[in-house]
Amino acid sequence: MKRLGAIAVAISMIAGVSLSAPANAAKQTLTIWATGGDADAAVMKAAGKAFEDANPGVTVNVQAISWGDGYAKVLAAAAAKKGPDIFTGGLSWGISAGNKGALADLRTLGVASYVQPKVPSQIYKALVGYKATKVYAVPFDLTLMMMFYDTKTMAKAGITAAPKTVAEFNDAAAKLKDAGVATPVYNEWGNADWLGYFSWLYSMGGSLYDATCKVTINNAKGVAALTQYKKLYSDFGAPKPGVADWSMNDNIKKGAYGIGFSGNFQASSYYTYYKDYKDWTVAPVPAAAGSKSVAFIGGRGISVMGYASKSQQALSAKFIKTLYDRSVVRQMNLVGAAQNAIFLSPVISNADTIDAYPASVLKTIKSQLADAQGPPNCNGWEDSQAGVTTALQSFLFGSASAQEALNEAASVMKSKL
Amino acid sequence: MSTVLTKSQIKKNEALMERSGSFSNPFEKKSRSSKFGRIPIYLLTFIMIAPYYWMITSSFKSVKELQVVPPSIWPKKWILGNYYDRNFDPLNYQQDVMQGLFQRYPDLKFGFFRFIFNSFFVNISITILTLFIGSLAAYVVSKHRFKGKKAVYLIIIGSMMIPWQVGLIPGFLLMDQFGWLNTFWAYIVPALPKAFIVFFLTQYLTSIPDELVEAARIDGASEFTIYFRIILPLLKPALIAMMIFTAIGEWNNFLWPLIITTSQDMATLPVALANLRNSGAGNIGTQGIIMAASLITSIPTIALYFATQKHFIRGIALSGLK
Amino acid sequence: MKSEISSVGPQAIGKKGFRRFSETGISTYLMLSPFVLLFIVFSVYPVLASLRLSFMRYNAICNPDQAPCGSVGFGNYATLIFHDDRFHKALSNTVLYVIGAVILGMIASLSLALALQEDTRANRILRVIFFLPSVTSGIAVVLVWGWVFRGDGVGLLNAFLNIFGVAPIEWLATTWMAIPILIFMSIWGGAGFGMILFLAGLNSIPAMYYEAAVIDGAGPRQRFRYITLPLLRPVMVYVGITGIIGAFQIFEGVYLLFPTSVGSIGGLRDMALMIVPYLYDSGFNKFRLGYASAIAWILFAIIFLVSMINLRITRSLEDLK
Repeated sequence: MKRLGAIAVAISMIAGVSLSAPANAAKQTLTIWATGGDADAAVMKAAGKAFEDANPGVTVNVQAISWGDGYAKVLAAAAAKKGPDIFTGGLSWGISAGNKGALADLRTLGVASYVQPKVPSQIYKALVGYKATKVYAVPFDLTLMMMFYDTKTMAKAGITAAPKTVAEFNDAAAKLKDAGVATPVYNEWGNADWLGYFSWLYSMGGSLYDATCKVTINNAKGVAALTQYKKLYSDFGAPKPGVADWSMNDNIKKGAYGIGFSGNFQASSYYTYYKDYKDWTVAPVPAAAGSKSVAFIGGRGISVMGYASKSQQALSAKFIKTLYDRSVVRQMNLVGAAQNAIFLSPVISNADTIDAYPASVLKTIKSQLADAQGPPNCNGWEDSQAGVTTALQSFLFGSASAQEALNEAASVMKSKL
Repeated sequence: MSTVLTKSQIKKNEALMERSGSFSNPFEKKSRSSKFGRIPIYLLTFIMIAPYYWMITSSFKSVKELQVVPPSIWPKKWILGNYYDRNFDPLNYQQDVMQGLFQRYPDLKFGFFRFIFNSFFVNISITILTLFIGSLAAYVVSKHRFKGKKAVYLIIIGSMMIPWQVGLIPGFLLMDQFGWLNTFWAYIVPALPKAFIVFFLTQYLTSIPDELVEAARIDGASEFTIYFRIILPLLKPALIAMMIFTAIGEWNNFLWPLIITTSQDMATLPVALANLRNSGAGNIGTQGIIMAASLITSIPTIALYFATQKHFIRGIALSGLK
Repeated sequence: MKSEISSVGPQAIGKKGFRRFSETGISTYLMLSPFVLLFIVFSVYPVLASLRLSFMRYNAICNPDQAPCGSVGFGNYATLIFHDDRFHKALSNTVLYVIGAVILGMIASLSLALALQEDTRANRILRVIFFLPSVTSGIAVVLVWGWVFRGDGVGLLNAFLNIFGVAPIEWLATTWMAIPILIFMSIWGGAGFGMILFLAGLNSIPAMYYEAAVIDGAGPRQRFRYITLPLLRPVMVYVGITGIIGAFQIFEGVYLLFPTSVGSIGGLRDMALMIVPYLYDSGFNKFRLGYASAIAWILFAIIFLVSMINLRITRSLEDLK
């Protein structure tokens, strides 16, 4: 018995050593970390496969990292000089990791000049630091804040058209409530944090910073937007974060949720899981009278690690450029549609390759993309987010006034500038 | 907070424990035998068991059943989908078909088994090596005389007062400099010097008469012979207690593995579990899979506890009493 | 005691150098060195290095001596102590949590020990059940609790309360509930461990004390007050101090149950932010490694002070008698 145990230990040790030994790479291998779930990695793999076919001898290796700790993993890899050649991640990751010296300059790699004319300027701007001389990330895909609803639920409450203005929205939400909809309004993406507030802020004429990165979150328009945002919780039954974090689309289908705010990934989920369900649709986020509807546009940037060798960086640049090809995007979307990860290319015209969406949805997405706004590119925004969210919540769920909460948020943002 | 046990105290404890592991105070017995007085204890027992019950049953429920309000206490239909769903097709997701735990991680050789292996490998290595070097040191500290002995022992004991998080960041940077991030080295080597083990074993050894060692030396036994032939057998009960402590502690270790792993294939079970949860967030559909993974993560330590229960309780009592 | 003969071992010849320091020669050092070397590299050095880091700005990627990194003197400490509201929140949350978890935990452990003292078959089983959480993976346990405290109808606690007609409560999204929930989880997880220690303590009280007390006419309450409690004091000190140290280091529950937005920890309005989660957040989400090291040293200072005060109080209590 004892001897058996010893043998088992020895075997497991030998196996462990052989497993941890690095694989011998004869050919060139490109390692990519895709932020998101396994499905996002699968979509990236589709692009990798296309690249492998076009470049014999190259292997593309894709790994999923989670949103929660992806940024930390990237920085840890940068510190260790060991990890991927390329990663996709949050829009602000490029600026903050790049400023720490972790990333390659995409201008010298020729990627920036290739991508810039192809993508909307407001999203490109979000990835390039204010007054920055280097480019550390270019857009990989887009996520757009939209309003989701079920046309039958709306009709039951007596609403025939999607609310366009803030006043119409409040009216519709009140009607949904009167009609007995359990949760008239639901914030799925960025619930009660800066991201959820963002679209209201910009659609009501406000902004986080102005064009010269002066903090403007606490002006009168910011206060009006935050006051409106609170109504979602206080008047229209929007659940707080951490309360009902299960699938929004299911509840909209059942008529339990009225209007849901979320990203286009929900549309993807409808396509994959609810093929027979036709009554869902999307509309642009409501705007103040006289203002344009400006939705938050997020998504992922793609960057090249600074420690990668020259040849690896060159290969990485070559790969990244293929991600804007219509044919590659189409292949990524074929995989994405099956796995609930439809890929929204930053090249707006490529949205046509998503034949999974109904025409009306596609039209809304394309029109909203034209007026969307990305996260600010001012210094310290990444580090301010937690503080700003906490400050906003002191009004949303606490005793502070909207002005006090926003002043607090502004002071956090100023301190990190 | 150095709780130094003297020889006599250890012996006393030993003697007490020997009484068939009984904790009873014969005299107090009569005062607490009322049947109704026990009701609160049974209610508490229910609270203690409920999470385990929920972990087990939920891992066998379908996504549909998991979403039912109010939740079903006993699964209407036991399904294995959270572990392995035969209907799962990676190219065509369907609403009620799960990507079972052992179907996830298609890029990892052996999939979820890789995490199980990582956990076992790391654990077994640490436990064996840490006890070996710890008991060697304890033998020297308790039975050898050398200059600076007191200082060495004081530093070892003193280090127990420092919360381990203090060294977390330099520890991480050190792993980085050694090129050990994301390797088994980073798991195993820094975990080897455990001050508590040296402290505990030294205390235990001081209760063993020096004459045993002296006699062997006179007979010409080398120090290593003495260690292997005399000290190790004597230390056996203490070593078993420490082995269980180390194994369970390391198995459940989370923050350090979280920091030193940069790719999925090197995760241990707790880290894999946290990643699983982070990727599915609170989505009710993945809860069954998370419970399945929680169950698999919990079973080994609980099994070890049941198998070694008597040593375990004694070890705790020994380490805690003054 | 060791006799002089012990120095005449088989390896006495040719190891004069070592003999000056040790009777047992080179073997002393051979046997001690694996532990001591590893201990120096992986236990002593990181602690000292973290002290140095705590006076620096450093992110692991930059050159430690050049801008934007470099020495900041007491800057990190000054910011933490005087300006960082999130740290203040983390500190006050942690103190509340520690007080609650340690005091209530101690009461729970002692009550359990007293209730399960009798050596019956039922009690032996109950002891095992109460001890089970101590050997279960913290992450697994936290994930189950996360489900119990879900704010919607699927949440177990809400489903249970629903039987009595109570509307769903937003357990993890109600600011004041975060710390009580974490305290509850800590007691659930740790009471069994304390119980075993108290049982051992109870067991070491000689029965004759109680016999004598009964002869003197002392009731059960008096026996508990004048015999059990004073004789359990050493165990209480041990349970208390290890409990305090452990409670200050809470991490998993906050990390998994109270995320803020992407890549941040603390929950709604930082209601559950604690010291170690904040350390993790600063160090490994933001990579402000110098700043995080300063947090670690403040944590150490607090734990050290609290342990010392605790010991001092106990000692002076003993002096009173």
